[in-house]
Amino acid sequence: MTVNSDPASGFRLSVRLADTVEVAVAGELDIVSAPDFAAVLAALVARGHGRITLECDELSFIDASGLGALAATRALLDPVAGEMSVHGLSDAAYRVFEITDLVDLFHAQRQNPKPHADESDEQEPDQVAKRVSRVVAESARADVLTDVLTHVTAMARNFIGSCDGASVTLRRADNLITAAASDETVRHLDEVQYTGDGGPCVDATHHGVQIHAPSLVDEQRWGPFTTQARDRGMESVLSSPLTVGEQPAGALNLYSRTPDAFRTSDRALASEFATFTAMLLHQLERTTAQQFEGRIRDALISRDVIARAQGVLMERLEVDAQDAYDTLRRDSAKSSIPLRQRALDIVEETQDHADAHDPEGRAHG
Amino acid sequence: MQMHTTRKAVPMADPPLDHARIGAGLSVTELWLRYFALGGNNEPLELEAYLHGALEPTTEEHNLIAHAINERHVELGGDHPVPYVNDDRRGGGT
Repeated sequence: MTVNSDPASGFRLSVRLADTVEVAVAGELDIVSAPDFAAVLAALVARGHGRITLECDELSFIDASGLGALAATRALLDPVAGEMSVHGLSDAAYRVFEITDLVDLFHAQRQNPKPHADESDEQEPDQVAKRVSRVVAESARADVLTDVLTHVTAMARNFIGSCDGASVTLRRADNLITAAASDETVRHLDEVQYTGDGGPCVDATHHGVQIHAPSLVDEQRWGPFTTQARDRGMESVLSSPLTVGEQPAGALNLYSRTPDAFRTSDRALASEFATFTAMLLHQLERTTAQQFEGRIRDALISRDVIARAQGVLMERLEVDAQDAYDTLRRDSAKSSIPLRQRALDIVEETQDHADAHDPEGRAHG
Repeated sequence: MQMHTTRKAVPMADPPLDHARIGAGLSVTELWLRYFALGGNNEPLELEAYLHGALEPTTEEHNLIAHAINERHVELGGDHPVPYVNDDRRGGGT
């Protein structure tokens, strides 16, 4: 059953009702066709069809609006524990799913899956896209994180007891790292703990409890760390876990050259500082991820516009894709109009021109 | 999207791309987002390798990165300090 078509973009949607509904999508799934597409899928879900497979062998183009329609349908399926798979994607369309990290969510598959792609989860192509997202989100966070934690260590050193040095330990995969330290002595003493036989910050991170060593002279729990700390004049240490949820994200470590420097009230204050730092880290992680998602969506729209303008120029100037892109870029540089804006102008001019010749616009069948 | 039809290496730009990036006040992440929005297809780590000279970009990649940096300079009221490579074959304009 063909339920919708649009001759201008070649968009076509056919539905075959079965236990798993098969929806064949052809042509361009873009800002024009996406609303109709989303409405059809929503109607299917509303009628109790919770398992949907999209067959995309004839899908020639998908943009951010198309992805948005898919995401909207996926959201409708969540409450009914439904499933949606997207099969037969071209390399270009599959790349869009990879970049937006949606391969897993939509069980996205290419037209011709590469051999051995399903042998092991570790080798699936979406690993590349996941790595991109993680790397970018991580480096975006790293700059802010360093600033925030540097402030935290400075404040802890100034406000808590007779503290002479402070640092923050964080988990990174299976390792511990010092993300910020008030000085190099403290950083070194942290690192001795990570590579040697442990110490207060390792114990606080692993066990999620505050570790207090009031007198390193009498301390028996750790070997190399205690010796090296005493060699550098440290007499007492206090490590408080950074707890978000069940597993501590790391520890706030305070070092002092005074024996028994951290009294009961100081230990309570250190705990407060650690909780505050953990909440800050948690919030920072969420905020950065959200900002990053928005930027990626915006970048995808920009890429769509540029690709369309490239297509117009290829036809208009009878050049290949690279020459069309170079023309756009040179034009942008010459006029100091951003490339994206230049591309948008070209797409809109072309659209206006088409509308002038076809005032009825695209007819939906 | 940006197409890559050749893999011809180009000489190191002068001033180096990373120098221009820092001059434009862009973090590597911010530059990657701009580069990606302009059609770039490489991952952030590869972009970083181009910036530091560990990998040599193709002519097309170099010009794309240069343009992403130059657009930021223009936003800040400046000019286009990063030169494009092999860009005098034909005139611009559409």
